[in-house]
Formats: sequence, structure tokens, C-alpha cells
Amino acid sequence: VSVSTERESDDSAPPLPDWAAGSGTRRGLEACLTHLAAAIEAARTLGVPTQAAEAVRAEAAGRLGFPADVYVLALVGGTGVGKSSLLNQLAGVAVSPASVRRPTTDEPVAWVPASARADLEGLLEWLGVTRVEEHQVAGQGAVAILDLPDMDSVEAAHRERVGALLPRVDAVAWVTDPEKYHDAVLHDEFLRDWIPRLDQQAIVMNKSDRLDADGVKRIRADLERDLARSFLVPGRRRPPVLVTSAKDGDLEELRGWLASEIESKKIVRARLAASLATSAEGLAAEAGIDPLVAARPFLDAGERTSAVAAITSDVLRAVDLPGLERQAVAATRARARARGTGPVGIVTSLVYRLSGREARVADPGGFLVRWRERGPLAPAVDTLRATVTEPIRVAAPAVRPTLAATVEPDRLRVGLEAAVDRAVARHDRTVPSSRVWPLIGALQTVATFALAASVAWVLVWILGGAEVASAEVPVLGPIPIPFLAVILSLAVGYLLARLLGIHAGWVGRRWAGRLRGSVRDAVERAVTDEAFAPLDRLEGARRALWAAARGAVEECRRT
Amino acid sequence: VTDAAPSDLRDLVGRLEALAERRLATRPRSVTATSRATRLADHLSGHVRVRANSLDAPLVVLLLGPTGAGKSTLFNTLAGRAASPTGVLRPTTRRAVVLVHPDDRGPLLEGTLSGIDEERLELVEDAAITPGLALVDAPDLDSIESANRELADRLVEAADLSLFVTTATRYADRVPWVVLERVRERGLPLMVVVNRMPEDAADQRELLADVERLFVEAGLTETMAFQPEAADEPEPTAPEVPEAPEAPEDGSAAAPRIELVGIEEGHVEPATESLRRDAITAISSRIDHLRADRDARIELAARALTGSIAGLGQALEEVADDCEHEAIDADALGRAAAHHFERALVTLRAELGRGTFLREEALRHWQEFVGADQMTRFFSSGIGRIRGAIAGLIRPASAPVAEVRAATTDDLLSVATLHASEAARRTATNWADEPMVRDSLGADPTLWGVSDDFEARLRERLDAWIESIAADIQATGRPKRLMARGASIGVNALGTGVMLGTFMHTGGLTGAEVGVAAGTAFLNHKLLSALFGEAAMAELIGNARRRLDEALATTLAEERARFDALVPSSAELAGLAGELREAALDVRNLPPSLPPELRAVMGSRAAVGAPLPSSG
Repeated sequence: VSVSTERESDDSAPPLPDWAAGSGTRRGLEACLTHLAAAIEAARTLGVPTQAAEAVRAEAAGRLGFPADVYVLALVGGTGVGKSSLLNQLAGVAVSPASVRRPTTDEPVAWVPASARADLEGLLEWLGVTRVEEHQVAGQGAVAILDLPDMDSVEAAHRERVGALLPRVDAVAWVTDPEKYHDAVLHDEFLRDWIPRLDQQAIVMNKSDRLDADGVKRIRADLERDLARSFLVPGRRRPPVLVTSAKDGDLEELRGWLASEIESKKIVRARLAASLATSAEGLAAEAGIDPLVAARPFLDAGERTSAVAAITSDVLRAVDLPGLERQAVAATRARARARGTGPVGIVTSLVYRLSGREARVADPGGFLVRWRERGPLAPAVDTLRATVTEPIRVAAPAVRPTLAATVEPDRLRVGLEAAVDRAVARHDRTVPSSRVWPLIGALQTVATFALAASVAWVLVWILGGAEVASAEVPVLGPIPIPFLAVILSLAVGYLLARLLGIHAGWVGRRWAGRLRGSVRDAVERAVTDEAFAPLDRLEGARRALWAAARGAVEECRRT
Repeated sequence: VTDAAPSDLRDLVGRLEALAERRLATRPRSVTATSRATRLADHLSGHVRVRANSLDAPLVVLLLGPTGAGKSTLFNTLAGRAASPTGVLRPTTRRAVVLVHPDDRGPLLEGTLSGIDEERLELVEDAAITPGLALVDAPDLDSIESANRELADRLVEAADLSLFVTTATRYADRVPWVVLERVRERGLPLMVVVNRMPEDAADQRELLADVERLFVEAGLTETMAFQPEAADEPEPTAPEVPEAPEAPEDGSAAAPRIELVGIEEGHVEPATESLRRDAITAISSRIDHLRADRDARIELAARALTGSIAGLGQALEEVADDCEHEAIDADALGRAAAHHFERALVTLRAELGRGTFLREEALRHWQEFVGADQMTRFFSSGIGRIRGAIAGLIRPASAPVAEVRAATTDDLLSVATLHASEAARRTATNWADEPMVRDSLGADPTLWGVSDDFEARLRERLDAWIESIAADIQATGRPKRLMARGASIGVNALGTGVMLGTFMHTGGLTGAEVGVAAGTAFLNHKLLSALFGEAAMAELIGNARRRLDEALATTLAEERARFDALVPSSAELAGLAGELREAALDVRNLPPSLPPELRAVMGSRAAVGAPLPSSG
């Protein structure tokens, strides 16, 4: 039973062939494939269309499945420029029929070294080339030359054929002639797109027999100017302009070019690297990223800090920190009252609680939980939206929808609300207590009993004066002691209550301050984490895309 | 039916021109629609109008073809001088070179060539040639200079006869065939010159047969039937160059032969940048014949015009189709925008009506004010009233007007901004993939949110709104007792109360409910109804609410207008489409060929553009 491997699948990619790791690129093709995969992943997150890049990746994977001992060179050009004549002249025999009828070639014809025929079988099948001519010509190098149909005639199918084959060939000779060398079709629809995606390539100016020496010189200069001006790829060598005449058999420059690079594996590798790198760079360009310039974040640190501060203050306005402090102090006071006012306090606390007033004004926990009733998050969400306005404006059009989606108000509001809920739930809401309070309570109890006793004494003294006349009432100066006792115990009770109030207020304010600080910090953390989470995801993708494109430029471009 | 009076024709052409201009003014949204509309306008002004006015205006013979095919060389040969530059670098000719007799110059520039930038024309005057025929060397059709293609397209619309110059290499190129398709559509008489023929006679025959095959397949036989005018003139033939292969001459006049002229490569004489005269006898004799024979020119012009009119109906209908498609697209886009902004307004209204957008902080201050003793005296009785009166004397309450207003305005602004920008974001997201607006959307990134002055505009309207509430209160014919009582509160404080009243419904609350908003709403309501009476209060609040709604709707509509400005008016386009179809029908109802008498009348008018008598 044979195990079939899936070539298309991302995670189960087949091991790369030996020839993929070479000296042509620093880390070999593996790095380039990794960069493109990373770029595709990041571009998807950013909302940049990735179909074309994925197709390039699939084509590269396809080519890696075949040997690279012989490379495939395609002759591409307009009808009548002499592609077939060139090949026939190169071969010395009529390989591909040339004719006065335009367009001539319908089907691609492959001209391959007989020795490599067997090795090339699979590759040619993958290319869809069925017409194969073998040759024994020595000194041509390990190259299979494809004569392709034209790309500019009324036969639309020919152009489609060329379009389908170009992503799969290893090298291209762009054949043109003195009539067609400035055609819009050649320049705008082919060279512009394909020069960056190929490595081994040349512009062949055929039919030089039509020109005198001066004409050749001028046209060559004209073409070289185009190549330098319109099709310049940074860090890449420029395709040479080769002048030939198939009619006169003058193929010297073409032959020279073919002989200049004979290491087939290097050619295939460089071609795949160029194609992968161009795709990664293309994705970056779509996302508005220049791999050669350090990536600038959507929001810089300063903008971010001030935005977080503004949003936090908007959220806190809804949470209402002064209100929270008031509640905290009131709750502390209530607790102190219950514990430190003796028997009277027990009664008043009960009344306070049962009337529902305690829940309204002295329950910081409940107050925090009900924060949503106190104010809308709209100002906070609007501040956040306004912060992302500028990044949207400067972003590349392809990224704008994704970027704008990060400020979808409903989702933002829900996210912020949940974050604030979590933030306010995290605090210790136990109302503080103090050991002083029971002590004050005990003293207050004593004072209360003393007061009761004094009042009783006064009553007994006034009402039952006759019966107890024998008993002398002690006197301090002119004032009878029972009265003094009443005044004294009242004063002590009052002082104790004041003391409790002052102490409870102090404890309550300290707690309220701590609570306020911790809620503020928690909200700020929540805002920091939540508000920019979607933006950060895009930021991460953008950085990843930049890194991938940069890596592609540095490692997959042969200089 | 042959009652198409020349004046009728001229009226019709005027109408068509106006329609074409209107169509161009709607800024067609796709490349093909733009080129169709431009073509129609160019054709009407460059050819149909000129010919409807006079068949005797100078005849325009256009040399047309791909770059490097040798148009200029042929032109120079026909001109007998090096008038048009030739060279190895492509493209050579960037301007159209026009060979005219001095007398024809004016009529030509005012007529056929009137729409073309003079910068792009090079007029070569030659007093030695016979007037009445201008020879134009068009720039190429297919080089990287796209401006050349535009000029050539324009000249195709204006010409009376075209000489299509191609080569043995070029003849199957796709781009020139697109132009030839247009030549067929507009019924332009055509001659074909195949340059750089191979030397071998068999090759020549095979090649010309293949060229003819392509022309026949493209349906270019009929309009190309450019038969020699006079029978006494023997058909000229180029020496050593075979004519087009014999077409069936067995009386089948319905399939006229294509006029193909082959020129061999060796016939070029680089010294004079021209061809050997004898190589092009077939063409030059035709030109000479037209120059010499005024009737032949008029005949040809009349044929060009009839060809044009025959093609106009379809051209008009195609433009009408474009308009209709655009109207449908524009309508759909407009509806999407309307939907999102409508939705924004509805949710905004609901949110404002619930009052939940107001922050409690400000409400609490208002509650403290309206709940204070000296205020509650207005709606309490007995002891509360007396207590309130005394409290008012001791410590008069001051309404937190500025604070509540500022807070309310800020909250209102942020909630409105949020909804408006969300509507913009949704619309932009919707539109981002629509071909009709993709580019204009990309060019204006501010469309992804509210416009920059949104807040300023809305704030101004809200300030005006608050002012209008105060004015309402002053104008509301307050009873005297209210003056007496309300005087201590002040119009601004009352206005603030009414303003809050528009956002807060008491909805049967009793004031005992927990929550500042409910409590404030209750107290506010009690105070206002005590001061104004229930009915007057309801009216005040109702008016305020309506005006606020108007302010918000207007501001949102302005935001939406930014989007609407990007799409053409669908109603206008639909109307235009209807008129174009009507015009197409009128064109189709014209007689298929101009009546002979009309031709005679037109021909007798030597002056260009002279009015034609109505035959009605």
C-alpha cells in the first residue's frame, strides 16, 4: 500500500528536494516558502486578498516535485516576431513550423536534449506540453526550450495558453522585433508583471536584419532605458537585451546568454525564489507596507497612552469614583456604628438596614456592580473610534475595511463592559473594621448604663424624696451628685460617639481611597487589554507581514 | 419612406449631440462605458454633424494602423514629401499629421477636427494639391503611448475613408482588430494595405488569402466595399504585387471584394522616407481620383454618412444600456447607504428617548436642584410649601444650568457621532467591493467615519436647539402667575428642564424608584407641569423633541450626502436612457440611404456648413 502525500496541504508539505537548498539563496528555498506562508497568513488577517499568492505557492510546490537537472526556457512573444524561426535556427532543423500565416504556432513545442527526455517526462506533462522534439545538439546546456503560441493575436486561446504556462516555466526569452518592441501588450500586460517574478530572462530583439548597425544600437538603447526605468526591481539584475536575426542565422548573443548560466538547479531555484519573494512583497505592498522601511505602527506609544488615559477617564466617569468613595465611607461608618455604639447603636443600625437606606448609600459593592445604570459607555467607545480614525485614513485601501471593523461600536461596547465588570468584581469589598470599635462600644455600653442608673437615681431622689430623706444625697458644692452623674455620662457618651465617628471616618476614607485606586487601576488595565485587542491583532499581522516581506527581499533575491 | 428632410436630420443630430454630452456629464463609471460615450460624442461632432451640414466639406482620408507598420512612410509617399517623421524607434508619430490645401484648413479645423487638441495636430499645408481632400496620418494604435491610441480612436470617429496599414507580421494582432471592429460598426469605408510582404509570390498569395479570411470572419466585407466610382477608370494594380485573390465574380454582387493592397518590403526608399511611387499606384490613383472628382468625393462622403447613420442606432442603444446598468447599480448603492443611515437615525432616536445616554453625574446635580425645598414648593402643598418659601428666602437655589447643558451636549454628541460614524463605516464596507465606487472610496479615506467637521456642525445645531427651547418658553404666552413664580428660576433653568424632559420619560414612575435618572425625571416632570400646566409642558417638550430630531436627521443626511455624491443620480440616468432609446428609434426610422435628390442638394452647396433648405 502506497501512502500518498498531499502536496497542497499546508501542514503536511512534502520534504523539499535536495536541490532546493543551494547557494543561490542564503537559506535556500525553504526560507522563501516560509516567508510566503507567513505573509499569506498575515495578509489574510489584514483582509488583503491572497488568492494570487496562494496560487504562486501551489505552483512553486508543484515545481519542487520535479527534478531540476534540466531547466525549461520558454520563448514568449507576439505573433510574427520569429519565435519558431529562432528555435529552428538554434536546432538547425525545423522543430516548430514557421509560416507566413499569422498566428502560426497553436500548440507549445518542446525541444529537449535526448539524454534528459526521461527525466523531463513528468515535468512536461505538468506543463501540459505534448509535442516534444528530442535533439542531440551538444553545447546547448541542460535546457528544454519551449516554443509557445503568441500572446497578442486575435486568437484569445493562445494568450490564455501563455498565461497558464508562464507561472510554471523556469526561464523566459521575451522575443520581439523592430516593429513590436514597444507594443503596449508586451510592456503593460507581460513585462511589468513578469519581470519581477522571473530570474533568468532576456529580451530578444529578433529580425535585426531589418535594421542597419545604427538602428540596432538605438533600439537596444531604447529598450535598455525601458528596462531601467519601468521594470527595475531593486536588488535584481536587469534582463539583458539580445539582438538576433533568425533569418541570417545570427544567434550569437542568444547562444552566449544560454551558455552564461548553465547550472540548471541554480536557475530553477532562483526563479522559484524570485516568484515567492515577489508574491510576499506584493502582499506587503497591497497592505501598504514597504519592506525596506521600518514598519510604523498604527498607533505609536504616545498616541496609545493618551488614548488609554482618555478612554479610562470616560469609563471611570460612568463608574463614578467620588460616588464610590462616599459609599465606602458610609459603609465603614455604618459598620462602626453597629459595633461601637453600644445598645443604642444596635437599634439604629437595624433601622438603617431595614429602611433600605444602607443598601442605597452605604454599599460600595452593590454600587460598583450597578455601574452600568449610572452612565453610558458611548463617550469611551467614541474616543476609541476617534483614535483609530487616523490609522484608517493612512492605511492602504485593502486594509481599511478590516481596520475599520475593529471599531464596530456594539462589539467594542460589549467587550469594554465585560472588561469593566471583571475589573470591578476583583476587589476586596469587605468593609474594614477596627479593634478600637468594640472597646468604644464597651465604654459606650458602660456610659449608657451609667446614664440609665443616673437618671434612675435622679428620679428616685425627686419622686421619693420623703421616704429616703434619711438617706443623705451627696452634694458636690451646690449641685446634687445624681445630676452631675447624668451630665457626666451624657458627655462621656457624646465624646465616645464623636471619637468613634472620627475614627470610623478616618478608617473609611483610607479604605475608600484604596478602593478607588484599585478600581481605577483595574479599569485602566481592562481598557489597555480590551480596547486595543482587535487593533493589536492587526498590528501583529502587519509586523509579521513586514518581517516576511523583509525576509523575502533579503534572502530570496539574488543580487 | 424617404421624407427625411436635411433640416430634420440636422435637428436630430443636434439632439443626439446634446444627449451624448449629457451622458458624458454623468461621468460614466467604467472604462468601456466611458469609451462608448466618448466614441458616440466624438463621432457625432466629428463626423455626423459635419456631414449632415455638408457633403462637400473636405473629405478626410485616414491612415490607420499599428506602430511600425509604415503609415508614415505611406503618407510621405502619397504626400510626395517627408511630411511625417519615420524612424526605427517606436512609436515614431506622436501627433496626427494632416496634409491639407490652405483653403481646406479652416473648414477642417472647425468641422471634422474641431474636437481635437491642436497640440496633437500637425497641419502641413500644400497649395499645390487640389482642395477638397485632407490626408491624415494617425498615430499608432498599440504602442505603450496610450495617448496615441486615444487620438487614433478619435480620428476613426471623424474620417470618411480609412486606409488601414498593417504588415505581414502584424495583421493578426488583436489590438488593431478592436479598432477595425469599430470601423465596421460605424460603417467607415476601408482600404487595407499589407506592408512588408514576403518576396516569394506563393507566400504572398497565401498571406493575402489569410488576411482576407480574417476580414471576412470579422464581417468586414460589406462596409469595406469601396468600389471604383467610375467604370471608365481601370482598376489600378501595383506592379509585381498580386491583388487580392479572386473572389467569386459570378454575379454575386452581395459579397463585394475586399480591397487589399500588398506592398513589398524592398519598396522602401530610406533616403526620402517614402516608398517607390509605383509600388503604391493602387492607392495613390484612388486618392488622385478622389481629388480630381468632386462628385466622387460627395458620393464617398454620402456613403460614409449613411454608414454612420446605420450604425448610430446600435451605438445609442448601447449607451442607453450603460445608463440603465449604471442607474440600477447607483440605485442599489444609494439604497444601501440610505439603509445604514436610516438605521443609525432610528437607533439614535431610540437611545435618546430612553435617556440612557445621559450620565448620572449631571443628572444628580439637576435632581438636587429640582428636589430642593424652594423648588418643591411649586408642586407641594401645606407645610412643604411654607417651608420651601422660607428656605428660598434664606438660601436661594441656583440651577446648575451650564453644567447640565455642557454634560448633556457632550453626551449627545458622542452618542450621535458614534452612530453616524458606524453608519459611514457600514456603508463604506458595503461599497468597498463595488466597482462603481471602489476607486472614489479609496481616494477618500475620510468616508470610513464621520466627516471632520461633524462634531462642530452638530454642536452648533444643538446650541441653536437649546436656544430655540428658551425662545419657545418666552413665546409660549406664559400666564402671569408663571411669570411671578418662574421668575425666580429663570428662563435658562426652565429651558434646561424642558431639554431634559425631551430625553426622560416618567412613564408612570412615582419618584420612589431607586435610581437617579428616574428620580430626576419624576421631579423634573412635576416641576414643569406645575409651572406650565400639563398641556403646555407636553407641547414644549414635543416641539423640542421634533426640532432635535430635525437637527439630527439633517446632520446625518449631510453625512450621507458625501456618499451619494460618489454615485450618479439613478433617476437622471434612467431618464437619459429613455431619451437615448427614443433617439435610437428615430435614427432607425430614417431612410436607409439618403435620397438622391438630397445628395444633389447637399452637393450643390459648396460652402461648408451652409444651411440646407428644408424639403418639407
